[in-house]
Amino acid sequence: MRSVEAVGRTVEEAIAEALDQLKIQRDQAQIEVIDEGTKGIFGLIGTKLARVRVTIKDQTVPEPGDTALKPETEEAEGLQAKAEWGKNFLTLLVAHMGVQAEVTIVNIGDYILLELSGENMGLLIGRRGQTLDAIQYLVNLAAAKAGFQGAKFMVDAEDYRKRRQQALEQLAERLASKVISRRRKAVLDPMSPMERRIIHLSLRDNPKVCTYSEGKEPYRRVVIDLKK
Amino acid sequence: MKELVEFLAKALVDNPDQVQVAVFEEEDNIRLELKVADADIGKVIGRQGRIAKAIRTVLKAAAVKNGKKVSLDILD
Repeated sequence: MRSVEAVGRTVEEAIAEALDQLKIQRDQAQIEVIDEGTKGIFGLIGTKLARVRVTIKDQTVPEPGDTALKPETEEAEGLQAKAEWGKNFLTLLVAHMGVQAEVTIVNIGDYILLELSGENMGLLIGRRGQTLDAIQYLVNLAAAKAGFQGAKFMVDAEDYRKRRQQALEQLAERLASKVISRRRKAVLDPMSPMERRIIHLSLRDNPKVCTYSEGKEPYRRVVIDLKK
Repeated sequence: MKELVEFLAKALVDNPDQVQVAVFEEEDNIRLELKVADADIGKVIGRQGRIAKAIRTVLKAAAVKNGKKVSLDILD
């Protein structure tokens, strides 16, 4: 069973980093928090990085059945309440931005997917999705502040996330062929952990190239290189 | 603009009643000044200014609609 230890400024970042290294999704991982880390004062004095150990779950071992049932329904109720709260908050947020949009709870699972629809969606998405990412980040911060735990929010509009995923997968394929034909590694633009994971996952089964990430957030970037 | 910053700041801090936003309009520029309780400054700035950056990104998108330039100062 493979496992890695990773550090980050927050537990979430450390987990994202570990998942990035293992090239797996969160639901395939067993996460153990070794050190919660401390923020210090304004992130300056007395900061300590969060440390986690992430192990790839053994797929053959079934989840414990009966014992897990009750907490699961409680958890589901909690997530439903969180989703409703998020829908309300997001509706208010975009209204304050002067955009009339409808918010739909699309899915509650590993994350809570909120979909925006209406006019002016381009404005909410922004260049390379940066406005959408900022909105998503703020919704998650406000949810934590309001005391909600569990699955994080993902905010989408006009299938931007799916389109971006497809674009990233195509980019990965194209660059992989280039790496193979030119026999030289390719360094991608800096991306968020979520986007880096899409690249890693899409090339995971490629027999000729390997991928890894280098650099520090927020400039961390994926490198595609020939398999040795 | 003012309401947007107020809404976001109040959702992030421990002392929402101490959130104050002042607006200074100069021709095509709108400058906003956000003031929060001393203990909450970190909550609106974030590590390496990540939260402040997100607030500014959202604010800029909102400003595109009325064709003005907007800036946000966080007072300490």
